[in-house]
Amino acid sequence: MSQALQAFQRETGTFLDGYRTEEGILRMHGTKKSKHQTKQAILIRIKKDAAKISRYRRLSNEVLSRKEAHKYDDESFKLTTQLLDWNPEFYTIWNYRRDILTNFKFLAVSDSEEKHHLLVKELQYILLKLKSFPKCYWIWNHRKWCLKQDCRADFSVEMHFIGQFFEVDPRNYHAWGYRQFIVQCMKDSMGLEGERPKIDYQEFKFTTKMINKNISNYSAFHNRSNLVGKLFDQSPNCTDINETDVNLQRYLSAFSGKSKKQVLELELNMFQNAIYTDPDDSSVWIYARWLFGDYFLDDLTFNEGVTLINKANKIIEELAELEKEDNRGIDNQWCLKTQLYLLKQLYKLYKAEDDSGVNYPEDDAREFDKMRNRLLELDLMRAQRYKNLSLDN
Amino acid sequence: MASTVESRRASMADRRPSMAERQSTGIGIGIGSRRPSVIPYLAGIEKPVLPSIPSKCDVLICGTGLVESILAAALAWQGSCVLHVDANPYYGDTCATLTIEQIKAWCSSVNDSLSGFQGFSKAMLHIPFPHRLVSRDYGIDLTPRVLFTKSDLLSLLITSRVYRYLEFQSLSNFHTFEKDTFGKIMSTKEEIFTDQSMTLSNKRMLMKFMKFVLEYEQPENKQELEQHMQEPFTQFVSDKFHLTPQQINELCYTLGMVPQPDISTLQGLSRIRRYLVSFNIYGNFPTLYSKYGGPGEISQGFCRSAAVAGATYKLESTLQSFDADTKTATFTDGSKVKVTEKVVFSPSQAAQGSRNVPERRYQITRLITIVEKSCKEWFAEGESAAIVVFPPKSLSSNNVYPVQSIIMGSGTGSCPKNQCIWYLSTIEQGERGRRDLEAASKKMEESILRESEAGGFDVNLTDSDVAIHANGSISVINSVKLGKSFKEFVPKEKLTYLLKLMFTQHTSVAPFGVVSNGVFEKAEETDHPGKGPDENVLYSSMPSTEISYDGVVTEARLLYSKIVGSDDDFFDVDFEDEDENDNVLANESAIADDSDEFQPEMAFEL
Repeated sequence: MSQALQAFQRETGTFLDGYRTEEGILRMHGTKKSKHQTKQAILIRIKKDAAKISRYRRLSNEVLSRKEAHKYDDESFKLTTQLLDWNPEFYTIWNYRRDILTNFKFLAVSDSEEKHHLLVKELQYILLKLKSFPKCYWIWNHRKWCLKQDCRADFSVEMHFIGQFFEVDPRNYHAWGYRQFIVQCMKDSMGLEGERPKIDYQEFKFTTKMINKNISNYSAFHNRSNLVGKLFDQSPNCTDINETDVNLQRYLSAFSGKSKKQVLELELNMFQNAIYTDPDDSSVWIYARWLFGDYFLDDLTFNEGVTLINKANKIIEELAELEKEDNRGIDNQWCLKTQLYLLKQLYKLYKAEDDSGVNYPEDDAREFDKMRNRLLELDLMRAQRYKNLSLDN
Repeated sequence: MASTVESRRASMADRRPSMAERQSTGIGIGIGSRRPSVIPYLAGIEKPVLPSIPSKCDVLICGTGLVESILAAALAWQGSCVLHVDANPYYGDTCATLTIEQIKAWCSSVNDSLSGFQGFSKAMLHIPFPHRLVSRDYGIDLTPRVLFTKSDLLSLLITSRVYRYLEFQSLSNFHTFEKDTFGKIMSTKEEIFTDQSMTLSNKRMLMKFMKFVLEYEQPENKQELEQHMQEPFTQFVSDKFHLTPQQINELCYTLGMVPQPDISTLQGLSRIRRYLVSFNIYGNFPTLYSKYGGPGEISQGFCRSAAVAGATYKLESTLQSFDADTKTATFTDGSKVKVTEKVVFSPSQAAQGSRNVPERRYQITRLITIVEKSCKEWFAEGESAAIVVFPPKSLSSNNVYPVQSIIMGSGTGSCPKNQCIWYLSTIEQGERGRRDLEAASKKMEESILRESEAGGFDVNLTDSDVAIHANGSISVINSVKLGKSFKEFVPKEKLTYLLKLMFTQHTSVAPFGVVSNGVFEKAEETDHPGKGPDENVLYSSMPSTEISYDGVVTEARLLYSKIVGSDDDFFDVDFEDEDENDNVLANESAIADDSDEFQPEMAFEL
């Protein structure tokens, strides 16, 4: 472990301490107190709150007036800390804080080494805030700003840090966005072009790991779809990367061979595994939309496309039957919706092949209508949508 | 308070002073500094031998087992004056954590049927290399248990703050022994998804089953359930979910930790649900255990809590008799105590000649072995304990009942490095029980030797080790952690046993039973018109067969309501909130919520 990383860990302590999850709250405060509050208790509360509110107002007025006066000094900095501890969503104060850093703190230091130390301290403060408010845009922004300011930023530490966030909550899309930001920074700071696909591949591997942990993860799938695109644009070299996992090896060779068809087939396997494991999980079905969207289909020949779509359709149909049996005759709506989508894509293929789409199999057209009507019965809330649905639009 | 907890931790972590020494000094630390206005009478805790005991108390409790200790603390916090005594020189009574020397003494006392050791019988102890064991390096549980993260005891530990006196570690690995191999059931979505050997439809059904278990009380599922209520659980699962017999065994006996075969559908579902809902409360594991010893440590924690609340403790005090007319209790050393309310006995400490001890119809056969191997191959990463279950008919002895085993490595603090304690138990009785336990122990020995053999597991893969998928691709089935078939395996080394203890424990609680009022009713009605030394005494139960802590709090509450009238104010204490000083933010945040009404909205999940 790098020295910076060790130092980081020493200073921030155990990551999970105080992380604000519902369980964490329970751990801190034990079980919830009785909800019965007498009128007396409520009045006492209101009084306490009133005192707090006036304190807060005083503080924020003070800070805002300093901001207006363009006051940049230590005292103001401390006051912003106080106010932000209280209310981290007050983004104006974050702006002010950045102004103080730029116009006062950074000017006070002579070289980049000291600036780095200042920013490291600032990052520690941000980490503390993030533990309490892991979904606050402004805190994440501030962190990004700090990193951009620091020419000696250590991205491996940041990756480790964001990794810990994922341990606690793998679905936090802020964390995913931040990870992409770091990856971009790492790429920018690298000289060689050849290294970039390696990073993208590692990221792809990471999304695989996250999805394996829990398929119910929109951000992981979304990230994955982005990475697939990047990996086809700038493909990694098979020989450069030492991949031990058999399954991932196939992906790697597909990427370096720039074979979208191969990747689609592999993803189809994963898709099948996922829908059988949990047929109600929306993340997987929505990912399927992208899988069978234009990105891949445009690259395939007519026959390849038709074969793959039919294959996918068959997989879903088998599952749909099982689902219907087990649910006393009620179809799984995701199956229906996705099959409709596939049939539409199929129609598109036929239309592209010969302009009128007249060769589109009649069976499929009938299936389409049948399924659409079934959805109309099951999902009344979206009835209008289904009414407007046809192969054409 | 923080500093006193620190010093307590230090002395606990430093576990090398003998148990008795530690117990007598440990609990007394820092009490005065916490509540200077009420200095509790800490006799018996600071100094085990006292010239005299108080002459009067509200409730007298004999035996510092887990249920009794929880009861003592609950009563003490409620305001009762509690005198809590134990015939032994250590805390914990029937669930104590003992050193080797203490175990030796315990064995002879059990075999002599001395007072204080009733409820146990036929203790057989074998120590092949006595010079190799340093007595106080070990903490052996008489009745080891694991704590589910979603359980009443855990909630009680939090509300009572007794968790602060303890250290808990996670336990994730539950292994099942079937067809000569050990396996680990896929029970989480992740495991099912990534598993390469299950068919797709099997995966689907298993997931469906898991979902059903969590939701079987919903109205739409209740109807379904009513039809199958009377069926045996195994039949229900096989018919409705088409799971393999191996999977059903694993679900029932390992996840559910059911101690006997032929359980009803409802019982099976509730047990498995207990396991599933305990996931993801504190992390990706369902159970915890207390470091340095299970129920023994926890009962000490509650004793400490009771002492803080004003209870008096005295060890090495044997009750001779209780006179219901004068309401006076007499001890063997001659001293007398007037009890204004009730006397509670643990059956193990029942006075000589007692007539009302609840009948103990059920037995648990136990085998404890200390082996000279770390057994880390069985543990999940970062953990030091595991559970292994041998379902019915899986052993060479053709066991009728499952054998349950808790494995505690040195990381649990109960044995030195590179050693391990195996706790095996079964509700099979007598010689058959002992045979089952020996057979299970043998299998475990073979397995650990195999797993830890230099070179690891079998590299020769056969057709059955490889899965060929429909699309022609090949993948190796994930090698099962505890190794594959033993049939061709001949170990190069033998496993060294440092201690082997076999004994029988008797209890009045049926294997599936939760303690009910019935048990106490019997104790109160005297069949014999004459007065015995235990007239009008309430008896607690001996520890049940249950490997989890289920039932303990229920029993404590029952006893509590028998004494106080109802259990409404059981541990209804408002501790001064010292947390306020720790986290200023919790009180001073504009967004975050001080009030509990807001907390649920602030909880995760967009």
